[in-house]
Amino acid sequence: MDAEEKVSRYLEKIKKEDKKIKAFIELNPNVLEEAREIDRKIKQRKAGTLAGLAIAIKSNINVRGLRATCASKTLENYVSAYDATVIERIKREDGVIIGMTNMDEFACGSSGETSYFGPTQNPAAPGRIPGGSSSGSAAAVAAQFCDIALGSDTGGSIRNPASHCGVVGLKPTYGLVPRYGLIDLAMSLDQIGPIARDVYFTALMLEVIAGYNPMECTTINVPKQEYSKNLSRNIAGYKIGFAREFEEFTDPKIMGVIKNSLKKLENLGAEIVDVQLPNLGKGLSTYYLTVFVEFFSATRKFDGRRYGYKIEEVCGREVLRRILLGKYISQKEYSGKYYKKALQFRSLIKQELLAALSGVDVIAGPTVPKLPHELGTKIEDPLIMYGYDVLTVPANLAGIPGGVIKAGEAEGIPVGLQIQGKPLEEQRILNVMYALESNSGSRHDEKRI
Amino acid sequence: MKVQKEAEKVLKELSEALGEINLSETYYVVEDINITRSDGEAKVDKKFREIIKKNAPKLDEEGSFIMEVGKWVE
Amino acid sequence: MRDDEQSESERNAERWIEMKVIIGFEIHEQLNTKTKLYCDSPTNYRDVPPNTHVCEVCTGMPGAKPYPVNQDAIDAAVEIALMLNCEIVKEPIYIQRKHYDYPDLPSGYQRTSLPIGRNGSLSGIGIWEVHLEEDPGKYDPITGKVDYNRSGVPLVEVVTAPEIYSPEDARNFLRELTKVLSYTGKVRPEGGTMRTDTNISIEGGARVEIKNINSIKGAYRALKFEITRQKNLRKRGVAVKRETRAFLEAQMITKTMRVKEEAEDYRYIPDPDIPPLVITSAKIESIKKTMPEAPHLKEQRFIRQYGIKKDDAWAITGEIEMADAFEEVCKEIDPKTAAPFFRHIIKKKLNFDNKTFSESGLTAGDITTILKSMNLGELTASSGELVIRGIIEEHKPALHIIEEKGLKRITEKDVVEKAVEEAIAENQRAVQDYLSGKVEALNFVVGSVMRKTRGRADAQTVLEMLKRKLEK
Repeated sequence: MDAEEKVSRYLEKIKKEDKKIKAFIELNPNVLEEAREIDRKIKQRKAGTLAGLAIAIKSNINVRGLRATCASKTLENYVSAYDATVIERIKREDGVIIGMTNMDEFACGSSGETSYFGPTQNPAAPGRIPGGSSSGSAAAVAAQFCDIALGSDTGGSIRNPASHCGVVGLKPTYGLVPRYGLIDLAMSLDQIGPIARDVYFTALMLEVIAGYNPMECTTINVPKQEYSKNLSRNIAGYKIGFAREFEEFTDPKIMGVIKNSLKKLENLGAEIVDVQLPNLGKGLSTYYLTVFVEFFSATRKFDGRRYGYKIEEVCGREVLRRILLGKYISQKEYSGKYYKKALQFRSLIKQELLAALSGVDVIAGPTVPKLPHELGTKIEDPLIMYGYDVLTVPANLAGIPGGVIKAGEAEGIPVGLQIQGKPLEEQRILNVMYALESNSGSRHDEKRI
Repeated sequence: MKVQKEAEKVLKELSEALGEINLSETYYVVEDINITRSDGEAKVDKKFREIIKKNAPKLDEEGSFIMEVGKWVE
Repeated sequence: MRDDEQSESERNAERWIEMKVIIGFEIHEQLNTKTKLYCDSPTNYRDVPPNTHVCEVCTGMPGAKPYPVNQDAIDAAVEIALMLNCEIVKEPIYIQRKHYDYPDLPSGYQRTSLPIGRNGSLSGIGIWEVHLEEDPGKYDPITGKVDYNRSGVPLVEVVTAPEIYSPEDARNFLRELTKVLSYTGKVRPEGGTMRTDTNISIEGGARVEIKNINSIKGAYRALKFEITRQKNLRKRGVAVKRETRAFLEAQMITKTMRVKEEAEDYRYIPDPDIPPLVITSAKIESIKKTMPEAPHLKEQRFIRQYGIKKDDAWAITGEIEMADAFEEVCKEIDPKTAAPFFRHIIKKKLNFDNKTFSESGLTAGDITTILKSMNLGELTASSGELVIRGIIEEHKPALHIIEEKGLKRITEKDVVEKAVEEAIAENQRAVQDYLSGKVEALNFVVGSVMRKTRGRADAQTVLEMLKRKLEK
């Protein structure tokens, strides 16, 4: 099947099913033409590593000529003026951008419900939220609307919906993937990463988008890794850490699934080791206080003068709440009380996580403490929503990588196992996920259309 | 305002959960300094202006944005 | 001109003294890098249509991130700080986001560094700090037009201590600062890029900030106006409000922009997109090695080394290019001859034309040629001045001008002698009158010789030659 044909099939499927799922905000009007161009390259054997793969992009990443709305009225009509660095890299490797996906407004949410364009459905658990904020990207992968999607992860926004939708997602080490062109939620925490239906595609996309960008101040200058080529199912002898503290926060039904998959890992030759994360719960406050300040700063450009609308005048409640909180706590007189304090706790959490990782290869545990709620459930207290992030924010605070793969199901709803690693040790995470995936049957071969 | 009220509660609970600590602040996960570039030849993307036009609420014929008039000049 | 101002300054000083005016400046000057501080857009924004020399970074498009900091801009700021006798900060220098909402600010914050240099001084006035900023775009508050071509151009900001006590001192300080900045060659040479925010208070009154001052003259006028305004308020028993005022250059008045209830809160945070800068000792040493001598130091050295007058040295060091040319000329010419020529002939012409030395086209070589010719008696002083004018106005080398205008004094003895002999033969009556005791009759003969030589002979020489001939 050539690229054009495959893309047409995806488009048909989207046309038929996406009214219900709402994974996409906008489709690329030139996608078939671009696919034809790549087919020509494939015939000439000149195509890159993503030749003809259909890629869905979260709507907070700039793709020149397409709208980067952040699922907000603020940027409803904003047409990207340039390609994000990751998009340049995808295009260079001949990936086809199929469209822009739905998300929580400005990535502020963990449910996919705060989009101005309406909430996304969970294709793997109908009637439930898909998780967020990369809700559309995870749903597009789960619904087989694309081969691979890009998400962004500030406090779990890739891992959370990957877990709820039963797909694979990876938040890379901070600085591994260029952020140039990613619309900020919190600059010191944001990372772009892949969401895919299997580990192989996740690794493939990571190797395309990862790597130093000399025109950006916060990317790391490390040699390029061939993650897909280096995938190995052999995890015999791996030390996999597990923290008792995970259980304090997590629904026992979810813990059951997680423990099962830990057993599988043991059966594959890994050794499960206890690690301590006594300050795990403090991550939430640290994370949110940091996000409020950085998000307030990041949104000052949305004044409606050059493009779009003034954010405070059109945004949803969660976005407004974060702006107001950020404005409040970044006042000079309060900076010591909130922001600086959060940055101090960030040091603590980073130290604690790195210390826990020092004796093991990876740490494995749950991703989201609760099962996805039913769409339409009113959760009035924002703190309850924030609580969904307790297990994912530490990786962002510490800048370490974290992957998610389906561990099993609870009440027929997917549950993802989160695997966190040392900085720049994405390969180990991918290998653990690869081993687990093969153990439950490779989806890479079965599910491709 | 409802959002304001909720915000206050959020702040109170979040900060109370932290307690006290005496550690240096982590502003940057990647501890780096002096990320600079040499001054070199300038670049202009001629097509960029078209996209500015597409997105701008108001531009004049010369290409200036038209924004509000200063409050302090009548 | 300078002498006049100083005496004016002294006169005014008495008036101001009783009121104790306190002035401090924040001076912004653009650095002359090719690309902007955080992106590769060009910095020559002047002659292009609005919003053409821009990109996603300097227009604050969603998702754009700053490029790594322009190293040349950092080096320039360090050099300027050193020139102003600052200590260079050794701790990490964070690039801060200074948040405020204004049409010219594309991201809703301005990136401004923590101090790069501290505790400097210039002309006896303390320099609190020197730091690096990005220029906002250009906003016309009357029409509401905004052009971001200027947005992101690197600026150095110099903050003075509130140690200036009159508009005249303020003007002198700004002139001195402009001189230091231009000495480095790191600021934009076009002129008119300086912008200052001025804080002014009269003892016992609130501090008022004046924005939108774009020239030294403007600063002087704004201060004059503001002092009168504040004084009048006080006379009427009205308290001066703490506020920010804008200077309206055309009307030469200041006007309220916003009243400050309390200090504006910019909610500074270190920019998470830009790791801090650290200026190493090695960097400081390498900049020190190549940076120019500060103008006031150069002035002192000229007085010492060349034995020239203070006023001459001050005038010559007004511009580094002129000072360099002077030193070059002094390799062949007595500095005591060269110095007054620079100050009275060259500087006078430049002032009259409102040109800088570097714009004038004058070279050390040309000046040496002129002064040498004058020393040899080949050029008169007034011809020397004509050559200087010719070079500046016609952009031709000195020798061309001398040739073209026939300015060279005739010194070949035989030519003058021939003319003298002819004149004696043709004016026998006057000769006889002279010989019979009418001394003044000889002037007529001299005139005849001068006509014959078209004025290029030296009158004194001719007179002496005539006397010698007739005494024989």
